[in-house]
Amino acid sequence: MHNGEHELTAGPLPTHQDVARDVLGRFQDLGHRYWGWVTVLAFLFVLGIVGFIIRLSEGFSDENRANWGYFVATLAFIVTTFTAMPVISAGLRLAKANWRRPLTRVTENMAITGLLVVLMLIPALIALPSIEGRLSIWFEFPLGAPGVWDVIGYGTLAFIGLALLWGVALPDLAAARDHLPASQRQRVIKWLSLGWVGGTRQWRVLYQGSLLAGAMYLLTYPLVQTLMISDFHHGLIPGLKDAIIPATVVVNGLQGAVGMTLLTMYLMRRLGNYERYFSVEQFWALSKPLLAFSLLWFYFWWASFITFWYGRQPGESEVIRLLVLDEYRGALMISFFLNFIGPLIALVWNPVRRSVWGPALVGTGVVIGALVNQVRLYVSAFSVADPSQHVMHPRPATQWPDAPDLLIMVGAISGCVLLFMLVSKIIPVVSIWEVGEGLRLVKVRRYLNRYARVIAKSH
Amino acid sequence: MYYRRTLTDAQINRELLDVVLRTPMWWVVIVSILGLIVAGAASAFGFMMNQGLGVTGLQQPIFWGFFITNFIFWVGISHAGVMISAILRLSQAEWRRPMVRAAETMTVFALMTSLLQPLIHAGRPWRIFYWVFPYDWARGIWPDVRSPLVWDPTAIITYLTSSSLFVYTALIPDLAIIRDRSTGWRRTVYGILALGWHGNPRQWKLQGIAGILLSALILPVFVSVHSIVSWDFGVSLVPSWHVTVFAPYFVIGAVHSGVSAVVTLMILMRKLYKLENFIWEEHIDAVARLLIVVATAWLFFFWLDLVFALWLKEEQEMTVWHLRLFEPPWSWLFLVFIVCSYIIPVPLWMFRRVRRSFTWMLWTSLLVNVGMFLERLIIIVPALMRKGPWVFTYDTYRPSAVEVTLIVGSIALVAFLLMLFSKFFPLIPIWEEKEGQKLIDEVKVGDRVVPALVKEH
Repeated sequence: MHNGEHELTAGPLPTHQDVARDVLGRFQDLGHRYWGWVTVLAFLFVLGIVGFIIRLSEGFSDENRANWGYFVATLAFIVTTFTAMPVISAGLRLAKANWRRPLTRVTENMAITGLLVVLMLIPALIALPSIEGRLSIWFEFPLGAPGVWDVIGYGTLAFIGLALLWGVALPDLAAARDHLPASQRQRVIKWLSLGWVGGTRQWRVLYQGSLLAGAMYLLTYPLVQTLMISDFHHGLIPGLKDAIIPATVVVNGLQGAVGMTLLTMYLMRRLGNYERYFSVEQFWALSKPLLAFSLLWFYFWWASFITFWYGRQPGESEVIRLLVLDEYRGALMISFFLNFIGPLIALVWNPVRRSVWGPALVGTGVVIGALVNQVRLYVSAFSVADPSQHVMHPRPATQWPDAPDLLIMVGAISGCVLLFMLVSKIIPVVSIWEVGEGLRLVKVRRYLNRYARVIAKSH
Repeated sequence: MYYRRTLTDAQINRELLDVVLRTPMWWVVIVSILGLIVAGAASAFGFMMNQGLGVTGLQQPIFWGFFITNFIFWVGISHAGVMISAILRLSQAEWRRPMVRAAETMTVFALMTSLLQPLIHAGRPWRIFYWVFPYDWARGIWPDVRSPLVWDPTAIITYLTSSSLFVYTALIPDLAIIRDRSTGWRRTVYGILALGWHGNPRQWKLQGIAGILLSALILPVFVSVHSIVSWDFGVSLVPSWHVTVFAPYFVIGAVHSGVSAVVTLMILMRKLYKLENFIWEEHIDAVARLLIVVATAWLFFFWLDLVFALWLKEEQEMTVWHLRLFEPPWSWLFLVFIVCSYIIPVPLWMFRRVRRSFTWMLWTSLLVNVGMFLERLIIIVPALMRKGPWVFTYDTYRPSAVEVTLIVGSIALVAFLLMLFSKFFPLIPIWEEKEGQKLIDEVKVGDRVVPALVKEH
């Protein structure tokens, strides 16, 4: 296809049956390696819970609010990467991108991390100071703001994500139900398949439902990121008035989602032998939005910076010093390199984009950069002693993570991967029906002096 | 979807070169009318130069009015070219083909018109040179090199140069076609412009590479132009202007108005130039889908601007927004703006029947641009009315007849230039249409034959 993987010829493409046989075969026998990884991840997750319990034992008060900075940064990182991944499949399905088919399930399975996000949100909300007397997006809105509304927002995102995951997986659950021998696992899958038989009406509902749920996820995600950044960052830093920051974190989320998808696909190729599904085409195609989001992230950041730089009002100057020039300069530099300079330098080159390693490497950098950026944004905000001031004074010192912080970060990230792996035991990680449908729409024909793919427009 | 009509190369040549190779009477009539309007606007400008800026509605403290609004409006319209042409070319959207040339050309003419606005706004344009360039070397006076009067022309002229290059590069194969069908001096001129194009594989390869490279290189320029215009506002401390979101808000607003203008232009072109074989319902359907996304993103930025304007609860900021939202005539204009820009068009575009109706799309796209013009006016004037805490005049800004004439003249000027362009060059790229025809195919899926497309890469 590309990158010397295989040249396009007039030979027959695999059929739907080939794909079903292959994916369900792997799905039936997960192997020792799978259980090895599950054990390691579960251990790390337990360590994270230990870190959380230590943090919890220190309690919640205005004096030790800074202790929760890394916890909130981890929560924001999960929202920015894992929970953002269904946006990729929803967007690509709406755009009818044919190359999406092998990777949609991987991204949708990550919707399960929405449950962990909702659980982590509760202590994060408790750690927040009262909105009385300080600036807030809620403008002293009475009905339980921000807690109730944040839980509703995050809960809605998690619910839509799970509905999307379950709804789109129904045909594959039915295929797994019919393929697996009778067992506890098969019974669970049978129950989850909701009696799917593939009738015309069922397919019509599935198509419409997947588009609707995808569109709702796409619309809810920016809302959740807006809640996150305004409640846990913007409202805690005196003098900060940055209207663009919700858009910046949404773009950072899309960047993180693409980066995490690339990383996941790479690991599945290496560890799960899924080369035939995650080919260069998927890496190449995803590298383009990754470059676009990287440029956009910088542009949004720059729009914010230049406005403050020229404004030079006392509050703005202190904010720039805290987040850009002094205390969190190092974090910004790392993030700047991994989220902008690195992708720009690497991905402008087509040979890098048209490879497996290139986009995967850049994607990994983007994910790390996203983590560092969340630390910069949220740890700094939670370190501010008095959010009710008009101008931040004094600026808080740089806060480094301690042992419980590190345990929480490692544990929460491992927890997300663990959830993904557990879901993959119930729902195949490659969407059999979508890949099969794609194969029916693609033909290889002679075009001028070479073979080319002809893609039918299903709509 | 995109291949309903199969056209031969000869038919494409004949239909797209119709106006280029002969001069229909309707073309003469329309160009004459537009020329008269432009002449009227030029006379109004002459009158204003003679009488001074007192003949406009500008007065203390509002020194930016219709001309600056119109400047931003036309810079916004110019964003259509790159959005349609460069981004859709890079993303290989097949439906781009009939609209790229018109969008690119409109970009160039809209930019030219936008550049005229600050000159007109200066009242006596030569004064701009005093403000921009050093005029007294002995004392080292360089009045204000950091002024927007330096930023904006630099950005716009860069964009104009690259857009013109973009139009020209894509025009070369078509120029060769016209050269081969012309005689006399026209053949000589088109021959020079065609740069010896013969369509050999090397030339096509270079042309393709140039198209892709220019598409990629023009994107940062595209974003920077309206960002810089927005920073004229954003980096000041005028209440409601000192907002970080202004740059992307202006850019996405520009794309919204620019792409809507392309829809208007395409529908008018289709009718006037009888391009039914090239501009189909499917094309405006696809643009309308794009517009739904763009408009919704724009609304998100507008919402951010509004919410964060109220964030610090500063009195002056609140006063400006109160003026915009609750005090006539601004409240009425605000209502018209939001209804025209989003509330009417976007819900209507959700319906496939509307998206595929040329009449509906013509009116809704026009509405968007009425709304977007008002948006710029509402951003500028109320903020200046309450710029300082001490306001000694509470009179509102009223554009004079001279200003209105010049605004109408600017619209006529862009239309006039587009009509002139269409007389000498095809408004739809002939080679792109032919290429599109070559990529058409059909595939049997189940018991149906469905349209298919050869994947370019």
